[in-house]
Amino acid sequence: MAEKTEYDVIIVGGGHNGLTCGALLARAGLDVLVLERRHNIGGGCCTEEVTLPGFRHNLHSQGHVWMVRGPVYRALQLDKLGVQYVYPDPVYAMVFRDGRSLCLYKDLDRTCEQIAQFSKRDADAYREHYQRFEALRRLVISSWYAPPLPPSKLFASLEGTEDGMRVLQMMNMSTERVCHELFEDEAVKAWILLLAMQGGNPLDLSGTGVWLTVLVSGFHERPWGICVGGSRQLAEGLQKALEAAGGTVRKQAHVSRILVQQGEARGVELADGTRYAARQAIASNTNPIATFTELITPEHSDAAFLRKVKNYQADDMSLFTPHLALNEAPRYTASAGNPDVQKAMFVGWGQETVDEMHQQFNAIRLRQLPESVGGMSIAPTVHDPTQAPPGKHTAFFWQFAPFEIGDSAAAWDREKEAYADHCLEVWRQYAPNMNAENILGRYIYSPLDISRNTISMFRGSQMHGSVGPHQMGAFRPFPGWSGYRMPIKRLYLCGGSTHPCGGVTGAPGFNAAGVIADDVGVKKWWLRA
Amino acid sequence: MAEEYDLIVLGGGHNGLTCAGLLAKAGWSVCVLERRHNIGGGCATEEVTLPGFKHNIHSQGHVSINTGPIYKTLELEKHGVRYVHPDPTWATVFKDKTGLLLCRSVDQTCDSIAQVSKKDAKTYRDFYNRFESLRQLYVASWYSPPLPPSKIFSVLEGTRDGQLLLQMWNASCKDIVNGFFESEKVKVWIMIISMQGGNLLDLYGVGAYIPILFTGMHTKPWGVCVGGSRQLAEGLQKAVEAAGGVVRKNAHVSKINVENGRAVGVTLEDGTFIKAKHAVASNTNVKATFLDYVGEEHCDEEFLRMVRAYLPDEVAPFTPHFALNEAPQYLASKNCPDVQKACFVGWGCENLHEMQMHANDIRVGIPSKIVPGCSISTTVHDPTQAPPGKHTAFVWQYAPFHLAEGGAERWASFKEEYGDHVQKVWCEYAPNMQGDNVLARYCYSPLDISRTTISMFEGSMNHGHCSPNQMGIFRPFPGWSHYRMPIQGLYLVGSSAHPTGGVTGAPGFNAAGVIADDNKLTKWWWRPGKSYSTEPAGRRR
Repeated sequence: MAEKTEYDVIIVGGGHNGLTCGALLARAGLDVLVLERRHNIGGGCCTEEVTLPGFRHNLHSQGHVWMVRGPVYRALQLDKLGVQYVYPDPVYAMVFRDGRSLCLYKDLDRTCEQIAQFSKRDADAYREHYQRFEALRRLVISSWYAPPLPPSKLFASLEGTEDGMRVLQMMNMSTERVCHELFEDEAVKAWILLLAMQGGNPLDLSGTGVWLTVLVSGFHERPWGICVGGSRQLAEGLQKALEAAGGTVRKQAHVSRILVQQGEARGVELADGTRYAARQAIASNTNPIATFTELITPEHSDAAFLRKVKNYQADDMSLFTPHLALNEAPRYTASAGNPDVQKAMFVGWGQETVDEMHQQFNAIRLRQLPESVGGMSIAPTVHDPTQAPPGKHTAFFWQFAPFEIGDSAAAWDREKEAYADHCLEVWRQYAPNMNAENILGRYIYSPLDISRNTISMFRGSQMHGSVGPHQMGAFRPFPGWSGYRMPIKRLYLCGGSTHPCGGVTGAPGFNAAGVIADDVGVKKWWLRA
Repeated sequence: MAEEYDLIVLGGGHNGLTCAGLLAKAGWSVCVLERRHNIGGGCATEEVTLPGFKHNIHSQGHVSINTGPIYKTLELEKHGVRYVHPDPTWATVFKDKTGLLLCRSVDQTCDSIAQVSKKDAKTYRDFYNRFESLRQLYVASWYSPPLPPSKIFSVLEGTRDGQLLLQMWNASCKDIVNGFFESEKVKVWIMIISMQGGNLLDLYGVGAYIPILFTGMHTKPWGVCVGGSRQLAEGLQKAVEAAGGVVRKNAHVSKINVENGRAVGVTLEDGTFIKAKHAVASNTNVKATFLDYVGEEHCDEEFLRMVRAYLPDEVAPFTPHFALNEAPQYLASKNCPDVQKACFVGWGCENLHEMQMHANDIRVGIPSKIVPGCSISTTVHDPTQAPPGKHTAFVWQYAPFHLAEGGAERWASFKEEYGDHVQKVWCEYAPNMQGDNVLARYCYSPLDISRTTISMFEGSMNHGHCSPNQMGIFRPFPGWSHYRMPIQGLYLVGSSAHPTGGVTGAPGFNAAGVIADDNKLTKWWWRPGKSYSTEPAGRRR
């Protein structure tokens, strides 16, 4: 039988958002094809044996929270399709050079007890802040799973109350500023800021402050989890959901062009010349730059739109990630004071003052390798032994870094091993067993490697583009085009460059599916009446 | 019996005087109390180097006060306040002896830009055409109490240019210049002047400043106050006095008297009590008002939390002032003669990378070696500010108030050394800024600012950071952006209120409107059809 060459919906890119969008539409009755360039689906949900056989490393995403808390997991019944999570407790621990530690537990009271060891006042402030903004937090999170509101609507809903006004003010503050207002103790500040930084925001810039409030909520309601078997299991589960509904996923299918005729997206062409036609819609899971400058030739877009595309900004900071195959998991000196440190999902170390964080941001803005290392590390195998051979372990940490060193991204290939050595030296100050004997293999994943492996993450953008306030909400990816529909008819964006942003939320894919369903005229079965 | 006025204004800066002038003409008895021997606050002109050399130690270029509603309503021209408007307004010079000009004429400006990039010249013109009307809207918004963001956004969301402006609003200035322009020189030219607002190049939420500033400089260019910036304050004083008001210098208020939750007057340091029948208007910043003058016992805890959290400016000016034989002669004037005629001349920075280094240094408390200087030789445009044939000049360099080594106090011993460095950089662009040409120098440090003008706490020329969380209805804090304070009869009339610092007169003008409303006075200065709501947004109940 000849291969099928026509589908209702074609999705370019098999990341978790493309798969979410595809699976929802397939179950709505549409004939869906997902095309993935790489040998594996998942995009940022990617688990690969990059060091030694049997050691499964999550190259990008690690802790998932919104995907499971939001509507996607339930709607697609991912729990029945082999997507399981474990929820370590404490969720996060920060360890200090002097042997102290600060754990963030699922339980609010226990967390406050921990903070109180540093400052009783800060413990009260944490509790008060957590409780005061609970309702607004829910509002913010629910806003992610719908196309973005015009700012005037969002503001009008907040301006009426004192707490709402405070949220609006915090939206305009920097995360660091919110932290300074709330807390007095330097260690408590470092503890929360190191974690808040993981959203990819430069903490010292205005317009990022509400993130602290939203973030903190995650831990005491439904904390972050580790996907059993590795992050790619999430993508595998989504693929199963899609296939169960009759959809198709094709790997190593490198889309080289989106075919546009008479202002309409009609199909795609692969690098090998294969063509697929799309009867109803094409959704691009990659970013707008790749979509409109590589996949679609410029003559199909007007100059003003192309300028917006060109001005779409990469993340302010990229990630540098050494992955290690280990004999034994990292053992922290600070666990002498609190053994729970060993059980924490994330362990932070290295930057114990806000000043050290400033030095890191400063270096990144000058395209220099930060001397100041603020590691956020995980040994997933402590919580899920299936990710390594019996008795063995994997671990990695994230350090923020510039995409270019000086003027050259290529310099990463020369510098990355030495920079990893520098970072490991800092890690050893906290976990002395992270030494040569314990490390069986290592794979240093640089910002340049990110951009090579996952082309949507242009310039090493883990969030698919800056999450500064000028590229969020109604401005993502650009003003006037935040509703997933693009100026070419039947063409949609469904990835992390759309509202709300990158990260494993499934929200861009979910929202895009809603818009496509509306346009095509199929029922949004996933919405509760 | 105690002396008594309808209104007492604490602080004789230009905003306090504006407020007093308007309300005096509305029929009130008013008294302005100034701590220093001179009125003016940031409109200060003093002979700090040699006799006859008048130095404007804070504000220099004025635009809004003379083009907004105040100049006309208070008849400042009649009271001796005059401006000259040099053209070009702004020039930036580079090490390769080239210069870029911002002239009053858009065409001339584009010609100048076209010499480095034709594409940027076209972009600039486009920029001007697109945003001029939005600028007018924006500037008009300064002269009334701040609108809730939902209102501003709903006005702008409706059009493509409005949406773009909103996005710029959320971006940083660096994002804007990188997004629109290609030439590094053009970027630096824009960036040095944009920084004069007091924000660093990468701060999110202030990017709209660029289109607003640049369109403005063609329609309403900056002016130099003839005789020195203090002449503005003197003119305002005359307006107050002409309406029967009193302005008292060397009158150091030690507290604002509060009885039963109401501001009833002030007490001077010598113990004199002066009664305020209707209102006390504080021209100092919100922190000093409540922590120093009112006292914490009169405020509730949440309000005090916000007072304490109110942030100083992120940068403070470090300003060496020079008495000169001849004005600075720029090397770039060989290629670009009009550089010598410019009001402001920028230099010291060749690319954005250096500007980022400068910003980084400030954030970690280091006085930067990089000097994106903004300089002016006032006497080129107004010879009355120096003895015949002689000149004055100064440069603004931004610096941290708290130094990583030695804190703020170190400025006292460090300022001359830093002045030497700044002067050395200036000489790379204007070699005559040394040797015999320099008759005297006076370095005005961030610490000096905070001592001379106490409202400018921690060297805050804007009376508090102009980051988006402290602007509009968030200035000084949510729920209290409408000049009324939680103590009855007490109003904020200085730059820690909307819109912000700078010589606009707008905080004083707006506060006068609110005070008039509260006391059923006729706002004689208000044109019909320009009414506005004084209902606060999100006010605590």
